[in-house]
Amino acid sequence: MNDVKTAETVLRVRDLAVEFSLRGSVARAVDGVGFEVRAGEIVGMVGESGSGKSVTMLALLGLVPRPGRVVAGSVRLRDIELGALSLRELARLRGRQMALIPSDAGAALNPVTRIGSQVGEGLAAHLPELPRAERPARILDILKRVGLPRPEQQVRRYPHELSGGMQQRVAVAMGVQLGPDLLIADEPTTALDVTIQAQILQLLLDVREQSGTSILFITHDMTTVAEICDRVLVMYAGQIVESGPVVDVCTAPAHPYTRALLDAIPPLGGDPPERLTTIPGAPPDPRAWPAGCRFAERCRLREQLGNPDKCTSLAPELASDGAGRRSRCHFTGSAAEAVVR
Amino acid sequence: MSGESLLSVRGLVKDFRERGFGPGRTAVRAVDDVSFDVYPGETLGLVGESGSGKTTIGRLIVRLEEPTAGRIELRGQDLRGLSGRRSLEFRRDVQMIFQNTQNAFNPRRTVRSVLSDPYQIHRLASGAELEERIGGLLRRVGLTTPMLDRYPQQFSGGQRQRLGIARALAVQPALVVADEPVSGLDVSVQAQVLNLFAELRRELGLAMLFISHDLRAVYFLCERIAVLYLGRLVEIGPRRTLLEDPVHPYTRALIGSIPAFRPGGGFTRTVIKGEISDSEPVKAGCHFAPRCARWRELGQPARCREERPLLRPAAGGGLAACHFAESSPRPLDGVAELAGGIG
Repeated sequence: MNDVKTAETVLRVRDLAVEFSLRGSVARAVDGVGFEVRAGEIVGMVGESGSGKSVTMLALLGLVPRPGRVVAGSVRLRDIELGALSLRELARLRGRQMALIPSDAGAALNPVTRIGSQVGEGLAAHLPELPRAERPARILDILKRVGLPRPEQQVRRYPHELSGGMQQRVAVAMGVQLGPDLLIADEPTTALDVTIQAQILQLLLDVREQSGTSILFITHDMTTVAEICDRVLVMYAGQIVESGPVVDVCTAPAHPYTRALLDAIPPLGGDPPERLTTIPGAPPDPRAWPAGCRFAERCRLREQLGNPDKCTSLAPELASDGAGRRSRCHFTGSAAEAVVR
Repeated sequence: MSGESLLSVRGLVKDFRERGFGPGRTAVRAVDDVSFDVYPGETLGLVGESGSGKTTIGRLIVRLEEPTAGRIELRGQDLRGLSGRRSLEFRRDVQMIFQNTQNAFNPRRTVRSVLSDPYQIHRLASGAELEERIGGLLRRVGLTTPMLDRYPQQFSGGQRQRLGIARALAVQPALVVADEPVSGLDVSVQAQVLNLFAELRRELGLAMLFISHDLRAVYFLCERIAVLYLGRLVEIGPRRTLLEDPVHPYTRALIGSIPAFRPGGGFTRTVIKGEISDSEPVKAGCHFAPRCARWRELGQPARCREERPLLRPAAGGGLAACHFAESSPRPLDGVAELAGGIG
């Protein structure tokens, strides 16, 4: 997509923070996250468990579960400030302007409702003006569009009678049927076999191509991001640590964590290495984020630079290079050269 | 591979009867005449999609299931009908590591208690020696002895998988069957656990059957790779041959559907039509034929639907079960057969 840079902004997130209060301690799971998604753009949000990517997603949807709550920040979809909406207004917007494709469609679909009526629920809720008699045709049409084989038969079936790949297609159908501006895809292919993964990713690319839908693609898998995303946001310990065009970030990562994440992917082809590059240690405790850089304890670049004090005493800003890339590291620039594979 | 095999599987068949009552229930053939060997010190990767039968094969080998037909031999000894002491000896020789570490441990027992089991059941150690060996075991898999008094759910997924490995290694088995041991782990944790497997193999000379749908993990760890499709072995060979020069059309499709990780290369995957569950398997012919691009190219020859292809030697030192293997052109790099999707 060449025109993405000039396209209008569909989603604008600023300084988003989400806290969970548990037994007297407060965990700030999302801490000052800000980014934009433009029209027709696929943005990948990558991170490991506990990085805050799922909580960010829930906050966008207004679905942060108790005891969590959004404590700061703004989420704007087109010109609507989501924080200012009532629950009812938000419910009206979800599904119609912003839709979720869940990671496990099998669990997300209602097990006791037939596929057809389940897809129809969205129409009934958001398009009450559509005559009842026209619903079945609309349902068949959308199921055909997502490539569900033999849709006339599938509408009569229950979710458990469908394979994982078909369930995921139904979930995509429910997500795209009202032509939302933004699709939030939460690990939509993680639970699927690799050949079915390819089909679903192709489907998402087709949706973008045909409807110009923006997609926020949440995943832990850098290889998938490299294939289908235009830009990527890398999350670590509740913050974005790097963002930029996907090719740049994957070929010349600016942040040592991104680099480590890429290096941990087992190579395919040639003689395999004796050992894979790993990231030592574990992410910090969200109830007590470290004062300096949150990745410092595990950072190879810091070690190579002789453990400068700055890394542990001063929290790095998410600095922009002015050309669409941001990195949260005091020593960005030295990262690419200093770390050898 | 040459020399005496450690594990020899011949003509393995497993039928599952559909749930219900009375006659007329159809049997599903989950494993359909599968034969392969695992040699001492070797790691064989078993790959395939859901429904390919890979997990069932693993469970048959560790005798969590009884085969419908076929032989499983460990060092030349048939495992069927083992009883009593011999069965116990076998369980010491073959250990399993499970995918779901949440359910693989009794949540009400401490790590010490869990890890004592194998030593006590097999009467290998007790008292101070037991304590010492459990401690050594824990350190060996990268955990620390203070963790002995904790419960499994107090550990992270990666740590629990290390515990699973420790439990399997306690009895010094000759063969470990690992069923998807790294799926569900974060990338960086997965790399740590894969490294641990690689180290243990080198140091202990352990043979392993590594069952996974993740070809990257399999390629890193396994010298040879076996590919399953709908219960049948379609190709087996040395990892580089299999990856760089696959013979069977299904192997090609499977490898083509892995993300190539060429940033900037766009969507590089081959998208194959349909799903493993779509077609009623043609008992007589090739199971993959209905989805096979090669079959369509060749004008849908009747042979593929009528005669079951057998594993035959292929170029590069592997075996493949395809009637038209030798007539297949080399796969062209970057050419994807796009199908499916909206339309």
